[in-house]
Amino acid sequence: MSPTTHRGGNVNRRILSIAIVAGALAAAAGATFALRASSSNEQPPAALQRARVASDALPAAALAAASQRELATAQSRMIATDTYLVPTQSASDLCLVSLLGNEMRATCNPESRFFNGRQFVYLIGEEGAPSSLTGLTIAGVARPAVAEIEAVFPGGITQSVTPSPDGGFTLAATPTALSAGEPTSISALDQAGRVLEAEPGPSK
Amino acid sequence: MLAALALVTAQVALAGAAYPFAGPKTWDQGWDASGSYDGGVYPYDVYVDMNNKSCGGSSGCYARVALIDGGGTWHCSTTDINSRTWCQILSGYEFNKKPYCKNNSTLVYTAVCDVADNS
Repeated sequence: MSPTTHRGGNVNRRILSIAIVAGALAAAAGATFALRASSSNEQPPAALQRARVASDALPAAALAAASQRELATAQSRMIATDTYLVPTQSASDLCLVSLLGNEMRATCNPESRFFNGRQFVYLIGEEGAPSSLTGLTIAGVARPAVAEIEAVFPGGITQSVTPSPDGGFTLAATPTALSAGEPTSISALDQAGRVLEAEPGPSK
Repeated sequence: MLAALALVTAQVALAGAAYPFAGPKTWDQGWDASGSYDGGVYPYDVYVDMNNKSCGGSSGCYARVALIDGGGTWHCSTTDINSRTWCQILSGYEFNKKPYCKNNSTLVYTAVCDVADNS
């Protein structure tokens, strides 16, 4: 056996070893994902269970950037003004995407437990530092039992919004609320006005 | 020829790739981190995220990401309690900026902060 052939044999064995290890890791990852998926009884957001329509598409200005961030743009759903649900290309995560001006914000959780047992998922988009805000928008998606989202700002200033049929919502702080600062709580209420879930606001 | 092709391929692969500027590490309450200013040489499609939060989806698990310009003004600030928080500036902005991450929660968690310059 020539040295060249011998080296080639080593390379082949190495490639085979790498392939076996990679295969084992992939199998383990698949098993983990399957376990997570099967352990969750969570229903996906309603918007993902309806047919996609033309208005669900992300605006052209955001498409390239969203693809670059590995979002599956062909599966997007618009759930409220400037607010979308978009799975990742690997389908491992589901992201809530909020478009405000030339900024695309998103928050993601594993798709199999997107709500993680909670009533709503949201993000707070801000302009300016937390201590000197010039803009604040809360965007999110709620489960079907939620009839209203309520944000309380310092001083007891309260704003609320009704989720869309898809559960989506966008709440822009009024100038009065904005001058008070970030919300101290964000709550999901049912049809009777009962608080289903209350989340404290962020720290500075 | 092959070397040139490999170089081009590598450049394409790197374009838009996010890289960490803080972590993975444990973030105590109130801890923050900044990356370097980009000098305005990456005007478009700049992205910052905090991801793999160990408490993601749990009550109070807040993180904040932002891009801060040379004058100290915050842009693209985003905060939430989920596993991954990110913001990307789309075409149209051009200013000197640095990525910023903070644990603005009441919890201690592990996470990593990434930035990507896509121009």
